[in-house]
Amino acid sequence: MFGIDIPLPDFWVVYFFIFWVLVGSTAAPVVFRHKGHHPLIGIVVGAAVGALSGIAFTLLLAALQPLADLLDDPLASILVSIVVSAAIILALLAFVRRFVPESGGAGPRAVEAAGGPRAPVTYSARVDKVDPGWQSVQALRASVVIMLAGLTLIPVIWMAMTAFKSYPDAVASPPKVVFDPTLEGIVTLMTKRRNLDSAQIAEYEARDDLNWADRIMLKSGKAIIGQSDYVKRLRNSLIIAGTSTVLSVSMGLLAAYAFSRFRVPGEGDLLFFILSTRMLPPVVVTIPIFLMYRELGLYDTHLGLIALYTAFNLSFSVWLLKGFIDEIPKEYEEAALVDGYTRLQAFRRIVMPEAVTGIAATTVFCFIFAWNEYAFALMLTTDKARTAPPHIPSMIGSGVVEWAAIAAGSLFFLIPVVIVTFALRKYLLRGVTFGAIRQG
Amino acid sequence: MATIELINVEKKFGDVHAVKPMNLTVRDGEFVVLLGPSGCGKTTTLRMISGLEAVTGGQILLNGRDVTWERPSDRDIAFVFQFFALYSHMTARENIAFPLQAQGERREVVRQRVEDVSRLLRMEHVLDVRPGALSGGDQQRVALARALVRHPAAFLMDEPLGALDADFRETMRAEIKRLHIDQHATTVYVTHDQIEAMAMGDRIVVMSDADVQQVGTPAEVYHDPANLFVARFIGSPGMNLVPGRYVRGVLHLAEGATYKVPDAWAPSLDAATRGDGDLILGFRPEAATVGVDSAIPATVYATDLHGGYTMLHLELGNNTIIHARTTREAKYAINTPVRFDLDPAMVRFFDPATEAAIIPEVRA
Ligand SMILES: Nc1ncnc2c1ncn2[C@@H]1O[C@H](COP(=O)(O)OP(=O)(O)OP(=O)(O)O)[C@@H](O)[C@H]1O
Ligand SMILES: [Mg+2]
Repeated sequence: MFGIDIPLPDFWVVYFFIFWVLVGSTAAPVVFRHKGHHPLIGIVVGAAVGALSGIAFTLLLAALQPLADLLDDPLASILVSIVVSAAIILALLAFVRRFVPESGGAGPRAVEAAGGPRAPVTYSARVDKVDPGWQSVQALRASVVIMLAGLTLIPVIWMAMTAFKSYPDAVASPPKVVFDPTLEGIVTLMTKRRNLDSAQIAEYEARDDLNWADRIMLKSGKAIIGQSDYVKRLRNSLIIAGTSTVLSVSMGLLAAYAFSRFRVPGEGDLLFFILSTRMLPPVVVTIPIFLMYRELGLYDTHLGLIALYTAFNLSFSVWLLKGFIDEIPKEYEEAALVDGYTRLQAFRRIVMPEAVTGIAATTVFCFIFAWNEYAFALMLTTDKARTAPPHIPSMIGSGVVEWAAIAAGSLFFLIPVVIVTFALRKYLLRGVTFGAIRQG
Repeated sequence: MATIELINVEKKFGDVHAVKPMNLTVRDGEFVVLLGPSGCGKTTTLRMISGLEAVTGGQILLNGRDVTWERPSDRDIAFVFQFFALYSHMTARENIAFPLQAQGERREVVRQRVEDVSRLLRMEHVLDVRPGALSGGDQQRVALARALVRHPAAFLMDEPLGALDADFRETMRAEIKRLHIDQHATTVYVTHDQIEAMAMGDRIVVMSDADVQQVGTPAEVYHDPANLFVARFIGSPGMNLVPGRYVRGVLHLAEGATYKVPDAWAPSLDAATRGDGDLILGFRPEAATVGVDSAIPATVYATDLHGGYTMLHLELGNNTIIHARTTREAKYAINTPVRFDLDPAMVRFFDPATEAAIIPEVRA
């Protein structure tokens, strides 16, 4: 993309470029603020410093190409480039720290001793954590963490990008980072099409009842003739995963409550028994279940998959929720009982809200399992109840592989899980808080 | 309001008694304190009264009605838990309103009552805070308010002040006492703090080892303990207990010291020991007065000033240390020999074998 012949795809050049700019623009403002300047100046200077290092990295890679050829090991040149450009940015930052003049106009230091902070420390902090040097190192660490986290997101980002690529862009080699986004992939995913010959294309172009999707397809010489199976598969996935999640969490909650609060005869054995359903990989029993389901008429039905997923998730949800309910002191309910509530009311109004963290966590895990399950869905469904996981790979099919459509399919498949997790994150993060149970 | 009667109420966990058969009548409007060391069965007793714990034997009557097997919610009792058991997912206001909602009160009534009770407890400013963010004292107030708001027939309170610091405990103690006087509500109050029990109780039930040791007014349990346990447990320090041998009107203490028992006691002691036998002499620190020509010799072991008075620790020989109260001006060097006398009206005697107090035939 820069027209330089380098052993790394463009993507990685961009990645490291962003990395250095991020490092520079987070580390430098700390220094500038400390010296009494506006941190915005720091961000600009830091970004410039980062950009310099990024350029150095790119040039180094190009320059080291002969060396890599010589050593017959492209990795060496990459590593050398990284190390050298890291040294460059650190040197630049050190230079900034050393030679940026103190601002005269910012008034006296809040704390007069040498090296003190600019502003009074009005929050709880250890002395060494207020030191600007330490803080810029901290900013640096944060940048590294962010970029590493970003690295793990790259497949997802790549998928999202591919979903909006045209066919030539999607199969281009080397892969393209910069491209013209198009909805072609998404329309391909959602529709059934037929190829048109040139006469038909001309005829279609003359029509004025075409919507935007038709026009997109027409560009590649196809006409939309109906909705694709994908929408149906996604709906099946939603129905099956949603219902089985609700079922396994609510049944698990009741069972966990009973195990936690009542004297259940053989409690330990029962709990072990429940857990034992997890002791062999579920796939082992696909054949027997397949035969059973065919006999029972559950093959390729929503009910069949819902029952199966609920059964698998139940052991998990009972165990997880029991732990959370055990943590709720029994006095909470007893207080409600004395105050005139029935046990069921106490359960609904006290136990459930207090266990909300556990319920949220269990919901997310159960949903993810049911949503992503592949093997059973593949074996036990054909069409009516087929879910998205076995459907997406089948789109590869024969002939031209519509990468953009597949990426779009995977992207949409991701969305419900993200929504569920995001909606429940408040409860997941809240941790278990105990109200006014006093300590000893 | 209500009377509470326990008739031979007992609770066993497995084969172990948590509460041995217990008889107690709490009169209408009375403030009864269950006092005892940790693990003696106080909480279990309260839980049985409230119906949270099924009895193993006996009967519980509320206003004369047998409620032994009635549900907690049907007993019209409010319980303040040892650990307040405030709901962390509700604000203080919602916590207080919670019992009223169970009764299906109208919304305005609920709001009015919550406001009334929070004004009474001076806690209006914390009503919209969640329990997690409240101080110990305010949590305490919310727990009390939750009990008070319902106007129940009786209150059961399980060490409600245990979590508070000494200073604040005193304030809350006065507040609860004041509330009790205003509302005249039958209350059973649990504590392991004998000072609290003395200060608050109309009557005190002293418990130990799952058993009731004595039931009486604070003055009774203080001055006339029924046995050695109560004598030691009540008061700080507890009653001085000095073993000796009783021979015809005179108690022979360690190292040749003697104490002539008050004339009023002689007949009953003669009867108890048949003229000659071991006894334990008991007296409170304030019953001993140090004087020049007093009867019993001792040496000063230590002294400490308690603000208003000085506590003398005296060694009687045989490593028996007794405590005596003197004026705050009194100064004694350590190891000085001193002599002291006992107020004849304030001495008590115990049988070392049974540990029970000896009852005087004619009280002096
Ligand atoms: N659910 C239970 N199962 C078995 N034993 C119990 C149970 N609850 C209490 N006990 C036992 O009964 C005895 C009395 O307990 P209780 O809680 O009534 O004591 P307490 O007087 O309230 O003590 P504390 O001052 O520490 O609160 C203790 O020995 C305790 O171990
Ligand atoms: Mg207790």
